[in-house]
Amino acid sequence: MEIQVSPVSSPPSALSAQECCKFCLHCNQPLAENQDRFCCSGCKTAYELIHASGLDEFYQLRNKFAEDAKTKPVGRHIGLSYFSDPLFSADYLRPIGKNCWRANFYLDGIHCFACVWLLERLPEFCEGVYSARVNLPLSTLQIEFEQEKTTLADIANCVQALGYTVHPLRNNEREEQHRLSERTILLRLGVAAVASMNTMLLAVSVYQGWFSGMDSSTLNFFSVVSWLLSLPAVTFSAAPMYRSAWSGLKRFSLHIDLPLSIAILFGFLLSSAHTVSGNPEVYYDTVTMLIFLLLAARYLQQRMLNESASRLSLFGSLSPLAATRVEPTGDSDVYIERVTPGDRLRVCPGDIIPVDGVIECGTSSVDQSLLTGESDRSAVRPGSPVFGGTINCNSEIIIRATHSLADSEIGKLIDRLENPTSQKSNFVELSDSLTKWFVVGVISLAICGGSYWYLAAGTSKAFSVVLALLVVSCPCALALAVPLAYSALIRSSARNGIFLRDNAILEGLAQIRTIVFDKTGVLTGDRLVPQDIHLFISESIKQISLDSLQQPEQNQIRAAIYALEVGIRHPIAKTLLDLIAPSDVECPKAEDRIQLYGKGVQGVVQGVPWVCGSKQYLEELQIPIHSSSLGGLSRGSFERTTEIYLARAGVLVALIRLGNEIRPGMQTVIRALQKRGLKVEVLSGDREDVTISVANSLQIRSENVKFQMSPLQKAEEIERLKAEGPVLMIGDGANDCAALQAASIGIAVGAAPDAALRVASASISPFSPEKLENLFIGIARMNRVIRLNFGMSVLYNLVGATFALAGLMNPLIAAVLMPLSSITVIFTTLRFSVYEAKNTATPDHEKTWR
Amino acid sequence: MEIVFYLVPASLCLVALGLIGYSWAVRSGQFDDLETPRWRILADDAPRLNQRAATTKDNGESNG
Repeated sequence: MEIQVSPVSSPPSALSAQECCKFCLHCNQPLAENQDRFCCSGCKTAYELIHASGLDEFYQLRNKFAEDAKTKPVGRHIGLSYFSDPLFSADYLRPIGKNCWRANFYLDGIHCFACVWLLERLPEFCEGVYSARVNLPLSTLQIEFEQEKTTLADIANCVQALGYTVHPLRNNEREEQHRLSERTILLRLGVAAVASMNTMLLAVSVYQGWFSGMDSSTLNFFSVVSWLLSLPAVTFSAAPMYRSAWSGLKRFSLHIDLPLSIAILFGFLLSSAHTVSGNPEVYYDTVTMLIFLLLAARYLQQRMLNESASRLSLFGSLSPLAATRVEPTGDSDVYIERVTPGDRLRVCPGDIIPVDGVIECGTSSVDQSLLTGESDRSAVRPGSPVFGGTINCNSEIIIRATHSLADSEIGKLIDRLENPTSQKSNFVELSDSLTKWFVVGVISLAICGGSYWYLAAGTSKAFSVVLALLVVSCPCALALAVPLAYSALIRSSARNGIFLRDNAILEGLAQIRTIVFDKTGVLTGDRLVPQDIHLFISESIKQISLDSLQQPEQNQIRAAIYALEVGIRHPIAKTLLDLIAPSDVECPKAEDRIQLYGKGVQGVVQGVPWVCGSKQYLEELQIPIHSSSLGGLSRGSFERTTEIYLARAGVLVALIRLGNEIRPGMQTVIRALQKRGLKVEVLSGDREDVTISVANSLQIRSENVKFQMSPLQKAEEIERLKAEGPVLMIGDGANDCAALQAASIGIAVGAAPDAALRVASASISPFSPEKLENLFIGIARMNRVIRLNFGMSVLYNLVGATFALAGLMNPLIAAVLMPLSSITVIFTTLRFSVYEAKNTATPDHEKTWR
Repeated sequence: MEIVFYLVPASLCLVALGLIGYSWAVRSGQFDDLETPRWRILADDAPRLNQRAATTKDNGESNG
């Protein structure tokens, strides 16, 4: 299907002629001198498509909703031919109706309602699609299309042309289950709500009747109607409670649902008996209100838990969805599940290796940090084994697959991550056992009180007392507040970029004695930053800024750096390119470019040979470096200074220093931690001088600093520290797997949250010291709230049980008090345990994804 | 007060209708996403949908 585009006739009238020239029409970013109306072809395509379909309202909406809309089309356009593969369809599409399919995509680039508006109009310009629905909080798009009129690849291309990167979402059975169970709870909740509201109405009339007189036929009638209304609530809505109480009974573990179920059934049966015998004392309102409130609390809980889980399958993020298979007829893109052992696959530099295999041709280096934790790249050549999930860094290689995806290491890892076994945490076990005692206590009190009152005042009074007791006693703090507080914290943490895997961290944090920090990436930022530039002017050295140089010289240096470093996948190259901020105009190519990994680059630019690299490299090429003039350079606030030398025609021209900064705000956080009495340690794989200097800047004593540690040594050190008390480790998710796992609580930063959560209890991505601080604050607050709730609950139960046993409490009063206490607990929990992070506003499109 | 004997069953019928409507709403996924519909009312015109074959499922069954 061809996407019809018509040439752009005139820009939107809202912009003045002046502004037209300055900003890209689509993404609002400033234009360079030679660019006309659009900054790139992506924007041009998107604009034309939108304009051709008459959807210019998109821009007005975007201005309304997203104030600084600098919405540049995101990402690369991936080849999509594997979408037509039937294996792919089975996993990613769902048939509905005749010849119609439903597919879900996760989209990069949705940030506001304007995008929603635009995407939901997909049927208007994408033939064959008849429904498109966006889910804004989850950033997903669901489309339904007819198979004959279009294909998934065409639709995906259409969406990408608008500027959104498409990630197909796998059919996830577990998710379907979650969604269905959420809906069922809602249904039950609705029925309970109807029952309780209407019985309450009738009950109010009856109470009024006590004062002003109501004849017995009306009373009986209302009684019967109330019975009718409560029936569905007691049978349908409360069914899950009976089930869990029953299964708890069978296993001899007393669940909180047990006394609740007893109360409900007892109240209902008693009231039914009274209705039949004409006794006006009925408790339908009590019973239904109880069911309604309990279900409401559980629904809220369930929803909160579901919202914080990431929807995106790890397939497609940790491993690619397609592989390029080399065939006699040429390369073809195949769906990754189709790769079988023996296939020859081509992997370009920068791409993820799809499956485990052996190299047939090509020499390169591989970044294996995801699987092994080693940040250093390993060189590979024909015959070397490679693993799926690792990144091919330098040059193109052709591998022969030895395993399919499911059998590769990465496949097994993904399987483990997607189907986690749930972990019981200490707190839950504690509250379970407390619950058991509570249940036993309540039931025994009910039996005792009931027997006493039966002997003292007869069955009617006895029933009333027992019912009042069962209803008023509410271990709400145990049943509701703890899980609610946990899920509230998990959810608000996720909103701020902190992903908590389980409850262990929430409970264990209070007991921590020692905090261990990894250095690189945790204490220091993970990007190389230009520190300063020095020019060599005949033996002496002078610090300058690049812009202050005279023009021809400046352009020369810029052009040389660009020509040498463009296209090289290395953090240093990237930093250098960012430094010189090239525009497309003045970009010559380097001839005879030779790049030596770990050393530098040399090439001929505009007829002049240039060299850019490390000191060692330049010395190897016999370019003299005047060490004397370098002695006076200061280190500044950088922990490590990487020196890049630039030489033209054998003569040293400039020195550019790059470094990793210590994260701003880290010092305050460390000081706060030390003030709390926690021991702070630093473990690093780096050299002594660098590590010590970082520790000194953060005022960490040097006996608490260990350097040149391998991942295994770090783990051993943590084991040693555990003897003094629980240890919290904050480390790079990719490199410190062993150490994070060894620690009592591990917090991973830097790596993808999905992979990091395999070894750590929490993942902060992207990391900043404020987030760490917020996490601590949030957990402390939550613990305070839980303690508060427990206290209130104990007080309430003591008072309530006393009154009930003394025969002073009408079951109706009990029915009103109990939900009041539930509401108070829920309210306190939600109000006080949710925290807003300071200074770490996460942009919308990062909220639910990395 | 005998009128009550007619009124109450009548209102119960209304309640039942309401429940049926609610049940349909829940089952068709209207409560799955509570954020996005909030924004949809701010747009000026409704999407113009393509004609589709009569044999396909009702569009209302789709969910976001």
